[in-house]
Amino acid sequence: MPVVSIATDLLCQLMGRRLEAEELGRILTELGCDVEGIDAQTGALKINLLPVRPDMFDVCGLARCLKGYLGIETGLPEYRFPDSGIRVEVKPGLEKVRQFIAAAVARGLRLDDQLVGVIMDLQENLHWGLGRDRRRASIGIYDLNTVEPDFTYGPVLPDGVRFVPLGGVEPQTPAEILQTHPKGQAYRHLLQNCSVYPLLADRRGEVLSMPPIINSEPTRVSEKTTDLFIDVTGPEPAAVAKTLAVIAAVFADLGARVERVTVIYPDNRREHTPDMTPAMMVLTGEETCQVIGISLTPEQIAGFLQRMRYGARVLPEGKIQVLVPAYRSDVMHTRDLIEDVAIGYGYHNLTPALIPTLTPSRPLPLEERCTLLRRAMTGLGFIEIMSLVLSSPEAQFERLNLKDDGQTVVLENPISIEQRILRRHLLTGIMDTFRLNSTQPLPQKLFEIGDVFRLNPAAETGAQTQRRLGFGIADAQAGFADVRSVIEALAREMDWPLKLTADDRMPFITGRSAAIIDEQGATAGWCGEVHPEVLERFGLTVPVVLAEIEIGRLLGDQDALPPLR
Amino acid sequence: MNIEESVLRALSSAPDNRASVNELVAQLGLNQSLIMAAAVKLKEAGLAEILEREYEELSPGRDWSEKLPERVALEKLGAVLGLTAEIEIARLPELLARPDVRAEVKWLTRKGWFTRERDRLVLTEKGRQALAGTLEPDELVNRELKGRDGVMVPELQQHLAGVDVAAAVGLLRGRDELVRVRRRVVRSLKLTAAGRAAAAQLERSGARTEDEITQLTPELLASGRWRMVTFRRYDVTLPARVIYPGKEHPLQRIIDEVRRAFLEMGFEETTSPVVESAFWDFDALFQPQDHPAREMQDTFYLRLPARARLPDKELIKRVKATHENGGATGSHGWRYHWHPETAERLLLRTHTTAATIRALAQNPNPPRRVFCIGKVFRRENMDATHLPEFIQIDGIIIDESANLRTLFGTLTEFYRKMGAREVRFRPSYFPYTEPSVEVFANLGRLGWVEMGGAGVFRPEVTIPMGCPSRVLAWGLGLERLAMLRFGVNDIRKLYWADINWLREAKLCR
Repeated sequence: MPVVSIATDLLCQLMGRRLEAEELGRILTELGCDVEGIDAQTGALKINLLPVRPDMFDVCGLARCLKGYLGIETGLPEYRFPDSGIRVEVKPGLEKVRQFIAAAVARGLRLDDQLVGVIMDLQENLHWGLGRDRRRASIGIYDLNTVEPDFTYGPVLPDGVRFVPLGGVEPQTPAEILQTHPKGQAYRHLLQNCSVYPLLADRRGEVLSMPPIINSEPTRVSEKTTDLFIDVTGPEPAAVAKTLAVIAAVFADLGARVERVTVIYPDNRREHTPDMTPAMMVLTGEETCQVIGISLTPEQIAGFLQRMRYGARVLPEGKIQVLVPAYRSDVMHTRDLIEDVAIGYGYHNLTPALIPTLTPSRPLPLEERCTLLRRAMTGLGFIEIMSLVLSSPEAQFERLNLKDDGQTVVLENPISIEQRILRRHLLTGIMDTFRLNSTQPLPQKLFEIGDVFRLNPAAETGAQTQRRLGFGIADAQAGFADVRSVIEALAREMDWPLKLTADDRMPFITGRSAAIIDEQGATAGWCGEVHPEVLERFGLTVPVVLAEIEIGRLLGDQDALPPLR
Repeated sequence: MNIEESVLRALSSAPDNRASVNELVAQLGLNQSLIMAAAVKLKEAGLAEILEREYEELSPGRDWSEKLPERVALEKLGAVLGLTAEIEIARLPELLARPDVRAEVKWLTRKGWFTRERDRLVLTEKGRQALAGTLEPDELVNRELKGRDGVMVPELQQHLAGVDVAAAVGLLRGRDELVRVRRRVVRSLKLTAAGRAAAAQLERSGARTEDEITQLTPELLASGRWRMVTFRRYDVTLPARVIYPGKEHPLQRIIDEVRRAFLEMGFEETTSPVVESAFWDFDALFQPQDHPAREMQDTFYLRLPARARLPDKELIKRVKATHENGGATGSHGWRYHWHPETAERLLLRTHTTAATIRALAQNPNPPRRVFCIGKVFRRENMDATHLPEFIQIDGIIIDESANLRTLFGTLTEFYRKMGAREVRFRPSYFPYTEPSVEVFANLGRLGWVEMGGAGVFRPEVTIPMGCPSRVLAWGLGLERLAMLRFGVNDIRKLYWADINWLREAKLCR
């Protein structure tokens, strides 16, 4: 998540109250900000951004929240913007590209380095948070005095126009910009498979920008800029409107005179943007108190909502009418309001309590019995290991001379070559641990109790889980009898009627391996002396005996399916 | 046989009929106070005299090492000296990796290994021999201290025949941080003429030494001959062979602790498939289908198997409506078009909340408390603090009295059981809980540690499942707790185990 640096001086100035950085950090944490720390050099607060609260990405938004929480200024912030008389006409043809646009004008700004920084950071963070990397919303900010209203927003052919992109010198076509400009290369996937590209131009046909890629160089904002034109484009109206509302509120907080722009769509529908109309919701005191677990009067609830910058008033029947600021994009249910009441009240002020209801505990029988099995294994002197479930066909099959039967769960998007499938057995994990410990004293006795996986078309999610026990002994004298005596001890202690029958299979020495057969005559596992070829492959110069038993069914797991291999 | 007789016998066979108290302690396996008591008795009987002499004792100092610092310096310089066998003093700090090399220069020249010529050190013939392995007396003496608490000068002289130990001690004196030189009084016993006679008498009377035995045998017990023998004293302070019990994996021990804690608090245990559908991992939890966590970047999707069967149509309908417009939940939803094909995709479950939401769907009626401990997967590169698979603890409480305070109370109780002193909560955000909190626990000397996330399930999660009451939910990490508790700073150590570490990881803290 991006980290934003908030200058405490500017924050205090906007709040109208001086507080130490530590104090600010503490209060912001109570408000739900993830405060990472204070920059030792600049004294700035470093905050991890929470994507659902884009209105708290910048110093103005934070000041707005703090003013409410500290009682300096509470209730719904008023944003009433006059009409600028400027229009944006949307031409047909962008329906499948990004057809929605919202725009605003901000006049009378005095920009300095710090404010330019604040605006650029906000733009970038909104692109990430609300814009999902410009896909849902892309913002353009221009020097209003370099362009001539009104504007048109419409499709252009890949070579239908030439303009100088921001940071460039030569005029280029849209196709050239996507090929050569760094921003073009970074965002061209957003215009993939489009036969036309979006273009915002002024009355003279001068290009403002090619959303969501790049602005034009002549419209660049500098410290001398006082009047701005702002647009947000996207494929759906909600994200576009919310993004512009956040920006408009910030410019208004910075002292700019924000004015509305009229957007005219091809069907003649007109929108006046930014739309700062608050959404209205009705909350009951009962619901609020039940969720938080405290008793509050409707008036107290309204008070906490006002501290959290909502408009709130108690209706005659005791319900609370709430006005949600237009820049909030996270409020979709009254439950969201209740959370803010709880934050306003302070999580640190809530006394923990226990649930008074009695419910009997119910452990899973399989887990309980695995605990007994662990006790038996440690009693026999074995040390437990836990190895990873992610593995590779090479590790699971090739290195043990086993055949891949195509019944394996395979990842679509693995992150490394060693981790492409889910393991089929526990033997590789045990052998790998012997390999890692080949210089440690002998004997080494290891076991693992864990899940392995295989395809099963009959299962709801197409795969089945098997609980298995695997164990191994590495010792100069280790032999088949050692593994057999452990299996017999387990059969005795766990009341498993197991039999061993001769069964030649890899990775064992021919004539020195057995199948473990259960009461029904089904194969429940295998054991044997590991073949020297396999030992060599694991870099081991000491004999190893291994066994693996499918224990789900043996332990009475009703859901366990018959073992297959 | 009494102790005085043993001492008398030992002295009569010692050279010059004389032995120090320490030598007698070692020889007879008796402690010092018993020997001294016997010595006093022998003296009173006129059989032995007690002599006291002062010796110097050498013991390893704070910075003792098998090699003196100038030997270490010599070896480092030897490795870089050219044909001219000289080196600029200005280069020494870099070569020896020490800012202040005055002490090294002093000792290298004092040992006669180098001569100092203006700004250079020049290797001498003696230095060449030293490089070839010739050790100086003080080095030989220093080496003798390995593994010893203290060594007397006479013993050193005995070990280092032909070495001028006195001169070596002279050189080492004053280098306290390396070798401490202290004066010690040594008491010894010497037989008088009467003592020699008494010892000879004792020998003739024939008290048989074979009556002292080391091992009690079945034969001795069966024959009853054990009555006629004495048992040789052991030095019970000597270390024995190191053995370890078979042990459960440290992570498993924490899993057991967590299970016990939740079972004690009236929870039922549940499980769910690791190979999970996007429906149960995301959609059922009201995570919109374009949520960044669902992208290929963060979640392992499966090639085989590829598609899951979705649950019954009614549930699908309710979930779809909730995502699109809030359905019957009072929410306005995410306002997009929900696709069942996206929900059918299979993945490796990214959290055990997939297990608790399945449990909720199966029986949404209060009161219930459910927990799950299980493997989860995130598409992350491996490093010291991240693995693509790890273990999570999830829990839910379906109850009429489920609220933010009882959530805090339940988790506080749980972490107290796990050893935390204090538990705190601060606001946070998760797509399926509202309110949402982050949980911090004070683990004593480890301070405040973030433990996981919790909250009250959103109505958009519970209502489509047919749940009539509020539901508390949390998801907590397990490896973090294990790493802190077992002092592991690399998570990989838990899964690529060093047997030594598994053997040493203490059962009890």
